[in-house]
Amino acid sequence: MANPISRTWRKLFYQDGGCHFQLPKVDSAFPEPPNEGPFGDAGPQALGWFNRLTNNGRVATPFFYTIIGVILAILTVLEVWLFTLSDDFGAFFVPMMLLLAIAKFVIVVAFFMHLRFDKNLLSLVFASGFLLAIAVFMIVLSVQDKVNPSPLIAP
Amino acid sequence: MAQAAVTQNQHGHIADTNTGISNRKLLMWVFLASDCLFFGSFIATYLVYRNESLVGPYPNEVLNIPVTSVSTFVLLMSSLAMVLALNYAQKDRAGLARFWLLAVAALGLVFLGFQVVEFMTFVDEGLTIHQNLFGTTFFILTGFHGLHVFVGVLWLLGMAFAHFKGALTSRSTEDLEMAGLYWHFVDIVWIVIFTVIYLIGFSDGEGIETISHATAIIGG
Amino acid sequence: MTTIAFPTLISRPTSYTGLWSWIGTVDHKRIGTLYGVTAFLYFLVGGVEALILRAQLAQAESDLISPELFNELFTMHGTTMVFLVVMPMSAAFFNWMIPLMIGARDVAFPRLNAFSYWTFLFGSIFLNLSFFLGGAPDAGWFGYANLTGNTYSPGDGVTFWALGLTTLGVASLAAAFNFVVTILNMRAPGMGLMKMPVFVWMSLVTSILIALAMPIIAVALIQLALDRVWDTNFFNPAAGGDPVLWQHLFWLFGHPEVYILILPAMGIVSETLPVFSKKPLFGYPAVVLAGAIIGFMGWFVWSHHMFTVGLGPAANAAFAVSTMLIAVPTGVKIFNWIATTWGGKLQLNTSMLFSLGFIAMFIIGGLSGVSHASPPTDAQQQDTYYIVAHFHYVLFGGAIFGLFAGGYYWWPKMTGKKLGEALGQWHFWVMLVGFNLTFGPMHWLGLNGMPRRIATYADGMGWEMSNAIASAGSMLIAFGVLLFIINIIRTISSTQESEDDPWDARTLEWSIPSPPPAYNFARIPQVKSLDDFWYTKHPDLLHDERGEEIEVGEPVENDTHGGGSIHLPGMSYYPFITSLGVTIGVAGFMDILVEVPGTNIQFPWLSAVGIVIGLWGLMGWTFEPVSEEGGH
Repeated sequence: MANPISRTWRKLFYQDGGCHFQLPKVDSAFPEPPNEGPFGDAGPQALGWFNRLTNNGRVATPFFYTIIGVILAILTVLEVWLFTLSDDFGAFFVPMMLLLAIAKFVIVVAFFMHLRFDKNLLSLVFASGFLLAIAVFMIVLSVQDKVNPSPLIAP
Repeated sequence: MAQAAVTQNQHGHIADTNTGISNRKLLMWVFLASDCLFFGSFIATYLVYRNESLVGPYPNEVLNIPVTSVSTFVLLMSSLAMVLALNYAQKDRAGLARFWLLAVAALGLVFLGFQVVEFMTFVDEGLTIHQNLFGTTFFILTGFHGLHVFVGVLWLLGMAFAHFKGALTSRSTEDLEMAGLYWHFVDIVWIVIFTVIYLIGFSDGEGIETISHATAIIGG
Repeated sequence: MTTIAFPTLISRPTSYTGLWSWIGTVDHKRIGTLYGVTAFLYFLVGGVEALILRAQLAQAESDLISPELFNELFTMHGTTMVFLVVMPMSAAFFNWMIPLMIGARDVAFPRLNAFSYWTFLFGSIFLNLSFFLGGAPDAGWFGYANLTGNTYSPGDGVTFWALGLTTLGVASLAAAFNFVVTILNMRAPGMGLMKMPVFVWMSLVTSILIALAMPIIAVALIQLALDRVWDTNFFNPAAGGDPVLWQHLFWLFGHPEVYILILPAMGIVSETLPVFSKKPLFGYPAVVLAGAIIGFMGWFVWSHHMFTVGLGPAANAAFAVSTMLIAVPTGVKIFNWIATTWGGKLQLNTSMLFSLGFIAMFIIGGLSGVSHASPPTDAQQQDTYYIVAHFHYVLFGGAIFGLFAGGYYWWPKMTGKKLGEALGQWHFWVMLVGFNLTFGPMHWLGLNGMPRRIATYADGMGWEMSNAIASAGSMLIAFGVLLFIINIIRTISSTQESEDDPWDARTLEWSIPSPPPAYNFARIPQVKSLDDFWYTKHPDLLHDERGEEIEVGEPVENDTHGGGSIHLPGMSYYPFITSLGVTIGVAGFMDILVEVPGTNIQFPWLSAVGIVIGLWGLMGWTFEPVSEEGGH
């Protein structure tokens, strides 16, 4: 019970009464109970970890960055491993790969490039360029019939 | 009434700005947003020409995923080294900062070495920029990325040797931050290239002979 | 800051007069003047090219010039007017006015600003050198593939075009980054985004558009240059290359480019109309928002240039809808301008006349534009003189008229003297009549089927009369420009000084002496409301116009830990050297490569020379302290 993983596990999946998720005990003294929701206080608790590692979201520690680096490495290994199984996934392969790439992209941008810690304006600037690129080039690809290529052999 | 300070270039102290972001950092981010469109255009060109090559070699014949995975990993770890260098610089630990900075440059050079070997192997296997659309789009896209890495390496080495001789100042830490932003951007472009061109695009070319033959008949 | 001794080989310029002071200048006002003068000279070059074209087309079956020269001239006329006239002329106003209007002492990166100008100058010279080095580009200003390939354009012209425009792209990008940062970061205290003058807003939108659109054309041009020099296959149909890809990349840039050209002019008239109507701008938030929406929607309409390519009914319908929608924010702006003049005490001087001319001509051009937003109509109009008429109404009647309005409006600010009013009025009316005579008949020519880009036409097509009128009109435009030049010369040689604020204007640039001192503002102004300076001058109007309490700002005391003096960034030669290196580096990719022995790699040796020069410039740039006294 003391270890945080089992504690989080219990918070997430412990059945209490007839519900699938643990519902917070509502007391008349607390008309608006904190951390209401399906995940209990798992979110704030994770945030607590995040804040401890990053000095309340300002400057992170080398340890924090190393964890991020390890996560990125794991994602890359996962990507290559899934690639070796690509035939098993059929149509799901491409979206899965893209999701993993987006995850890596977002992690690098948010933590290594400090957008998570910086002014929101910088996120806006970068996102506008990046999302615009995705939008217009997706239009180009769809107009050029490259998103869902039509069958090459005409009937 | 709180009023924003307006000093500009007053004796080396960094002027307060309307947004609270230093001018150079804002410039860097606008540049990176702009560079998104630059690489976006090259990647879009690659994708428009996917499976359009009329002759081989095709991606599945030349791409070497294990080797590129290693170089991808090297570049990813250089990003980690970069962020550590900046972190130590911000904590005024010049020695460690310089060590990690040189590590970034070294990893960058290793990545470039991988790329040179890859290019030479491909040329030996008959894939050149003249050979087919795959060769043209692949070499120019990854070549421009390599050029960005090369510029980054020069930048980092220049900073490691010229900038970090004396004590760290807030200005040189900010210099390092700029170089770091650029370096991480180069890394995320490679994240996209590795997934889209290597992993997803690897199977391009399987059975392409029949398809391009059919296209030629239809007049596509 | 730690200053590292570094052998930089040349010393910092010190004199504030003479040629070297201009080469080493980092003052935004001087750089603005350089931009303006250069752009005006190119306006004359592009104008002469147009006059030769009109002389050739004045009568049927004319053989004044060869078809080859005709191709080169219309290509260079378009390229010059877009990239070497309207964009740098807008940049001239950006440079001059943005720091003054937001109450700053310079732009955010003065040396980067100098770099932009010199790169623009060298790139434009390189582009025009093609006339003397084996023929100018001759594939049209949008250089459609595969006409631009080695097969159909064997000379060096198109390579000059691709590399020259790449260089100009570098210049525009550097300038755009600089202005975005300047506008976001360097505003006077209290000047929130919604208290900025509309011109500054429109420059912000324009700069963002440049920053995001230029990389796309740079990629397309790099691909084209590689195709031509290194025989790659990007646009080579024999290897499966798709010329339509060029069109996508070009117009993805090209349509935001249209707004890059027109938004600065829209900003200018949004300044002049309130001043000369003695009323605040009607619906300031709507005008600003419409500008921003135009900037955003401008990204999603590009394929209306490609309706006849055969992209399919779904794509054509979608782009037709988005094209018609973008007329809405444009209409919002026009109605706001009209409402601004409504009931005002109009001063019909030259600047105001050009502003009103802008609105009228832009409405005509806008309406003909909406007419080919519909694919079936466009199929009829594509590549005819109707299109030529349309974009001259928006770019000449729109952008150039707007820039003239700005020129007459800000001339006293920039030089301390007013341009002659009588000659100015003549200039406007001659120009307006000449403009409509030239481009009005082209609507009929186009609907009668006269194609663009033909060197001559057969007798008896029914096109002779309209063409003759158009050519006569073009002479009238030339006469109008001549009047403008005479006006400038007379103004410069006259001794009559203007007051600091001759128009009783509304924005901050008029609160300082004309011409402004090098440091612009002796005390940085503080802003509390839109048109703060106007309400400072006319406190009695505060309640009449707004009906609510408005505060006006007091200038801020100088930060005195520099001993009370104002520090300006020092001059530097390094931007000039870096620009030279960049231009040589890009230009060196011409067909003068040497083969590396033992391989078949074509090595661009001149590029290597340029890169070395550029690196030297960058090193000096990095290690030179920002200002002489700065290193302590």
